[in-house]
Amino acid sequence: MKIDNLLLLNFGKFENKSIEFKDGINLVYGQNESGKSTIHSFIEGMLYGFFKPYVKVKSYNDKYEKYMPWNSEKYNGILIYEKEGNRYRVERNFMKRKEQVEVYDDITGENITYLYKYNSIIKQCEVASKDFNINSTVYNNTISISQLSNKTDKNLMKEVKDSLVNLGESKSDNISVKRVVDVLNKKIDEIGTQGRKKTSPYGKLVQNIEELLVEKQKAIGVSEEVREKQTIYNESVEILSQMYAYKRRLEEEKNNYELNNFKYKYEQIINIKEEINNLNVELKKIEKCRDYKVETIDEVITNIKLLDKLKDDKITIEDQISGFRKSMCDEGNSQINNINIQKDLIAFEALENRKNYSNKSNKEEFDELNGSKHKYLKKRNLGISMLIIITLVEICIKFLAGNSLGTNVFIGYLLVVIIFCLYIIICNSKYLKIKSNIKDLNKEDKLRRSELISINEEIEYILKKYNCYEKDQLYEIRTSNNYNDILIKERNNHIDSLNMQKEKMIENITKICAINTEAGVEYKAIDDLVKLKKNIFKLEKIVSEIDNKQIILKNILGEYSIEFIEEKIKHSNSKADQLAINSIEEINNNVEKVNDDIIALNKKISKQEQEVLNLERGTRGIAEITEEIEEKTIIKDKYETELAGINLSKNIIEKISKNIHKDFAPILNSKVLNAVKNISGENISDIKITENMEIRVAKKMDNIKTVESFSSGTIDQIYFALRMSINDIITKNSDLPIILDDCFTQYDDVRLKNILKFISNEYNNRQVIIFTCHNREREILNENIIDYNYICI
Amino acid sequence: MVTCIHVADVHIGMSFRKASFGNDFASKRRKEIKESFYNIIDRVRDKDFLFISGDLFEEENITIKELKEINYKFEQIPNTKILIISGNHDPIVDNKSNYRLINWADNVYIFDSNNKKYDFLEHNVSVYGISWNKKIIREELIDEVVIEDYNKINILLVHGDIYNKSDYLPISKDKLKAKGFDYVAMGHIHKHEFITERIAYCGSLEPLDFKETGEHGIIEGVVAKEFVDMKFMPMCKREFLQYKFKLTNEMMLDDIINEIVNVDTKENRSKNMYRIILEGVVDRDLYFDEYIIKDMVKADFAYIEFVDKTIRDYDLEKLLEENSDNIIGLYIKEMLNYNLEEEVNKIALYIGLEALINEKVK
Repeated sequence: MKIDNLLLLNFGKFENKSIEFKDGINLVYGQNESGKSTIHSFIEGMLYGFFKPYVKVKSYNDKYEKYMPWNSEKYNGILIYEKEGNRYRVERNFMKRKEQVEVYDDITGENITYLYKYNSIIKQCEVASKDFNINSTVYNNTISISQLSNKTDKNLMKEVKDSLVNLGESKSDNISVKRVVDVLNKKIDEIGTQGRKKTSPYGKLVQNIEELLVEKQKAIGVSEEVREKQTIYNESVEILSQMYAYKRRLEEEKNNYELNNFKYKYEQIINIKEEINNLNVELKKIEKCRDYKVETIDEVITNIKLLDKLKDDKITIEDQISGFRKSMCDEGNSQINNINIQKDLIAFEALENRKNYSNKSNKEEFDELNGSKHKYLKKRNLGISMLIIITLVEICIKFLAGNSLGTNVFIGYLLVVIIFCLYIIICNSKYLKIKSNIKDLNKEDKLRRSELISINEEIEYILKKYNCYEKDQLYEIRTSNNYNDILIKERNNHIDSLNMQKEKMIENITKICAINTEAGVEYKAIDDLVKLKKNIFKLEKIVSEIDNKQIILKNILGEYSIEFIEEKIKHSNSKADQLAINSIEEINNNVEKVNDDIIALNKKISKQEQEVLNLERGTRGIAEITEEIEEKTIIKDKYETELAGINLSKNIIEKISKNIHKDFAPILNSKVLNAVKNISGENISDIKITENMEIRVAKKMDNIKTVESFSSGTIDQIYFALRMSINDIITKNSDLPIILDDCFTQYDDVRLKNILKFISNEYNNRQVIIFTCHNREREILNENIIDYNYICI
Repeated sequence: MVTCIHVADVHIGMSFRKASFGNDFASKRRKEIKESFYNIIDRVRDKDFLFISGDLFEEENITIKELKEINYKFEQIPNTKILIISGNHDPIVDNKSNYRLINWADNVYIFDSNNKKYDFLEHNVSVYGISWNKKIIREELIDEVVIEDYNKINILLVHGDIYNKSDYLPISKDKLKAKGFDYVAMGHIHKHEFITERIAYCGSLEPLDFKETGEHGIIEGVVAKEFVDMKFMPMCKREFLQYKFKLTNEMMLDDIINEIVNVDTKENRSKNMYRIILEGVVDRDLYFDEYIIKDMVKADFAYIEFVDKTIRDYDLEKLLEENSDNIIGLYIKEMLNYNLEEEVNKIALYIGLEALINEKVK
């Protein structure tokens, strides 16, 4: 197969540029920037378009933009290639939205686009599908070779080796499974592992999540604690409100007490005020007496009394005087009477004396004697009885004892009898004596009595005379008579003095009246004055009482004013009642205590409150933490999925590669060996490909050497040979043209000659297109008489 | 008649797991939700009642400090009666449950197992409420509720599911209608809907993840015996919006960015939360993923996130065909045996392929 013509209608910097190729070697010469790469790319573009390969939706690669003509709206070209006698003309419009590819049979002109495989993604046929049968990637890596210029021999062989290795593992010469796996490993590293906590994102994330979980647990714990504390706080608050209630009750009690006190005070005050008012009223009534002084009034009263007394006295005296004068008339008579009475009185007294004397009597004596008489009578009688008794006894004894009793007894008895008889006789005589005495007395008594009777008669006579009943009256008469005498005497004196007094009195009266008038007191009744005086006293008393009450009032008020107290009690209607005196102390103590408790509890409560706040402040909200955990977990999951995917991919790739190696590598090796054998003109006895894809060649009579030890010429050849055979293995095609773009710039002349000769020999059945900016190729080809087609840009 | 606002499912303090917000925005969003709720408190100042039908906050996440804040706000509207039931996210389980830890203001009435009804004589209103005391309720607790006095305006607060027989207090629609409440303030479903004129879900106050697109807010109005006039009021600060973008492999990064930024007006972009699902085929050389793009556009959005469902353009069939006898082809063949829906396998395929092809194309 070969490419016949290129027609760059509007492509890059070319417009209607035509290039013709021939069989064999085509040398395209152009200086730098002359467009060699453009033409090179044109071929690719014509065959494949500038689409990105392996895409689901049409997209363009870089070359599209690169070769779009600036000055034209057209972007198109024609390529004609030939295979097995058929000429195919490919016409392509590159311009976006107008792109189109048509293939014509160049001989018949028939449109044979339908013969080409249609790609629904780029909506065109694939030009290379029919005859080239390789895609653009493969094209670029196989038959189109560029950028060899920098490579040394070593690099060349490395390239081959790599290709072989790659082929052996991936059946694609440029896919190095090792590199692929390295790339995947690198991706894995970038994500990291769980173990590499500090350096890998994944590890860090895992650790972060763990820390967050711990934080969340802590936060939940804190939340629990907060609830606990808040419950306790609420309880404390409840207790506090109870304390306040209790305090309020105490204060109420205290108020009540004070109120009560005030009420009490107030009542007292009212009372006192009333009293004071009353006193004042009374005071008003007797106000007037302020004008008077007690002393003056006393004086006046005294004076008035005196006056009255004097007046009375005066009257009395006057009465007396008149009385005296009157009685003095009576006196004449009475003087005479007086003498008579004296006489009678003496007689009377004498009579009385006699009477007394008579009366004086014997009564005592009489009684005495009587007493004695009886005494002795008694004694006598007693004796008699005794005598009788003894006699009887004696008789008895005698009777009983008979005659045994001696004479002694009889004598005794006789003595006793005698004694008793004597006794009796004595008593009897005395008795008789007394009796006679008594008789005498009686006789006396009789005499006396008669005397007495006569005395009494005489007394009666006297009394009758004066019209009295008893002696005393007589005396009285006498006394009064005496008295009258004296009186008369006195009277006369009196009258004199009385007169004198009377004079004086009249003097005094006048004086006093004068004084009284001077004192301004109208002559009033003493009662009035007394009343006045009383009033004055009363006034003073009232005043002092008022003062006292004021003092009491002041004491009751204490430090308060009445308005204050009124204000205090004005809302309460009830009356005061008595409270125990010491309850106020108790109440105050309790108030103090509850105040202390309240302070302590308040402190505790604010501490608790602060604790709760601090706890809450000390951690993040659970919501936040949870969210962060979720967020990070999602990323972690993503990482993990990615890691899993990458690992899976790695595993599969390695598995596949192993299989390839197992199946394909041997075939590859043999092919390679053949290719190398064919090249080397020198004798190669044996070729081995090591596991590292190193090619060891054994020359005849030499040791085994690696390929690299050969000359560069040989290496080149081997490289190309290998490369081509690889290409052929891949493309299964061995007649595709080879396009070499600026490959040999760095080659020295010898090497260049070498490779050119090789190429012309080896690939004499293929079209070879060489792009160069040197003339050397031309020269060498000329020198070596190698046919070529020269195209100059 | 009474004026009221019905709100529910505020979820103060919740953590945004499903919304994949990332820490900073999530914290910001939490703050916004709280502020949104405070706005409602201001709004209800001159109304008679505020009904909160459950899930006011997240039991595990809320702090004492925040509870005190909320209570303080409640205290600022002493003329409004605030009635609260607990939901499955803030159940009153025991004395350490958050509703019990705070001394609530006088105008706050919380329902629990001891308080199932509150009467307000001055408004002639009886409010019944069913509070949650555990995390799952399967019983139809509605059955136990009985209206005592039909002459009063009877209102029920309940947090449950009227659509499904689920684990979250299932409610039978017919039974509920038959009870004869003048208004039923429901909670738990985050999308607002009037089941009947007198039975309604007000929905969550602010949308909480990308499933909750559309408007969110409160229901407010008047409830009387003769009529009821309750309307939905959109109140939320931000909405969730979800878009699908189809990318082509012709697009460069700039093209993609432009498309994304033009999805909405600048005003909306600064307000709402966007999720963009990227589909289609992307040039395999274009290096980007969800995070890179997010990074590049985040300045233009209040919040944006991406889901990458794009396919790198590898024409697998073609590749297989052209490389049928080398490792690339063999690799593809092998990988096709795996279930490529699984992320691991997908990654393995593309990473391996990328590595192999990059080798080849060198």
